[in-house]
Amino acid sequence: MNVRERPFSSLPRAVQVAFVLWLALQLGYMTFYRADPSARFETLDKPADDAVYRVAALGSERLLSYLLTLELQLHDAQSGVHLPYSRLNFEHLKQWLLALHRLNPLSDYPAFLASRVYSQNPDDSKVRIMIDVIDELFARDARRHWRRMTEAVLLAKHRLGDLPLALELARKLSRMPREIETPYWARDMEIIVLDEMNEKESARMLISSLLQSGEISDADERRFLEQRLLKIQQELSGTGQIAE
Amino acid sequence: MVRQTIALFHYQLLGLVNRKLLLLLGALYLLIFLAGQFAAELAIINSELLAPALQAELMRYALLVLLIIVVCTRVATDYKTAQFERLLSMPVSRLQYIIAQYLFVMSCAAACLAPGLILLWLVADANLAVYWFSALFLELLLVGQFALLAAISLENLPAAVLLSLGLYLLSRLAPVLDLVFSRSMPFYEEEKGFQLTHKLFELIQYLLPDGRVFANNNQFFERAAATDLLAGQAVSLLVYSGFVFVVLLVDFYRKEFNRS
Repeated sequence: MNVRERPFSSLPRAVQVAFVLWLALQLGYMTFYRADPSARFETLDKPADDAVYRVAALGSERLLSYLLTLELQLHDAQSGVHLPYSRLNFEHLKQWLLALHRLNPLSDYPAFLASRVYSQNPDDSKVRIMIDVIDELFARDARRHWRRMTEAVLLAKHRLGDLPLALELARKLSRMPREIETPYWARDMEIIVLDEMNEKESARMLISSLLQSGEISDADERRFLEQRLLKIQQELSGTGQIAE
Repeated sequence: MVRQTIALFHYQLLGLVNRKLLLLLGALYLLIFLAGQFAAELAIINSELLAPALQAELMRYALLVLLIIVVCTRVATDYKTAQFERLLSMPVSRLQYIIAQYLFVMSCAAACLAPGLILLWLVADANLAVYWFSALFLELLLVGQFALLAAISLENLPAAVLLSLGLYLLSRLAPVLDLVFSRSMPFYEEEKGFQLTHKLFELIQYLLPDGRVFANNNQFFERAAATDLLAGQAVSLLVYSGFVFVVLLVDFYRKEFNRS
């Protein structure tokens, strides 16, 4: 098939005018009204009701929780630009993490994001919110979240320098039911924090009572506590503080 | 009678296995695999759980659309080429035609799912792969019946595909609609139209399948007893299939084919 093209000037006048006018309109529109392609931060909204996610999941709520977690995790990457976590609304973030956990209580992902991702923040108040999240998740399911709780203790101790908070969290760890299997260092964090706080007498009494209670069956843990007790007793005898 | 039904089923299979369909199936599975691996790359932890679950879910939606199109096309072609008139002039009953179509749906579902079984076996484990293959097979049987019902009733391909998808989505979205109604109720207590719609929806729900008839994706995370889940699903499907089957028979037997 051989189709020859006629010159532009041979087109009907109305088509020529319409073409020029529409071309000008298109160029003008794109010049003045084009959507700004630069990154614009979209705030993190509150999550919807749990019931909404539960029914919207169409029976796949565990999978939906993971997909929502990924969406939340990627919220700081907008229009190809990575925005700092400090720009997130951490109260909403907290609600999201708790809602995601309610949607999939078998997942450790929300607690992981709180302890390892969103806690890496220069703002102390925001780190505290993340510690609150971990604390709440630990209260819901200590067996699944004790590891994140130990990280929360370290965050409180080293990142915030808030030893009373670290002690409060460590106490919750040490009071976990014995059926929950954890390494001894997790339960013994309370002693370490007490030692750090110079509460040596309390640490000594706690270790002594633990050793005498017979609860410690692990030989390594027993050895660790005995060494710790010896060190504290030596420090206390050096200062003459041992109570009868 | 059995031999005739099998012959009819063989006839339905003719032309089904073609290169285009195989390529489409291959492309779908490739996309599903890539999507799952992409999500796994995004996840910081638990990617080994997320990838197979997402691949299984995508497999569900891709295959059900494919099955609906294949089944509706098959029946629509029979209408278009006046096969019914020819078949019914032979000593073949309409019941045999429906049974042959059921066998066709089963074969299609199993054939479409076979690569999925291998994929999940590779990315997850044998137990999960077998569970999902069985559960999705049952779900696809339901979808195939929807497609059969829609195609035989409407005699028109696009309308049948849309109705089948609509029936499936209505069945799956029934809890969502129920929630919307229950949450909206306090705002429309005076509205008679709203009350009527709500009542109507409540009645329609009795004609929809039970929620247990769908494959349970949570199994990828929970590892519950798969046999219990499958047994519950099979019972729900059996009850609902019987209902669809008789509706299909009523509709098909009422059709007059010698219309010329």
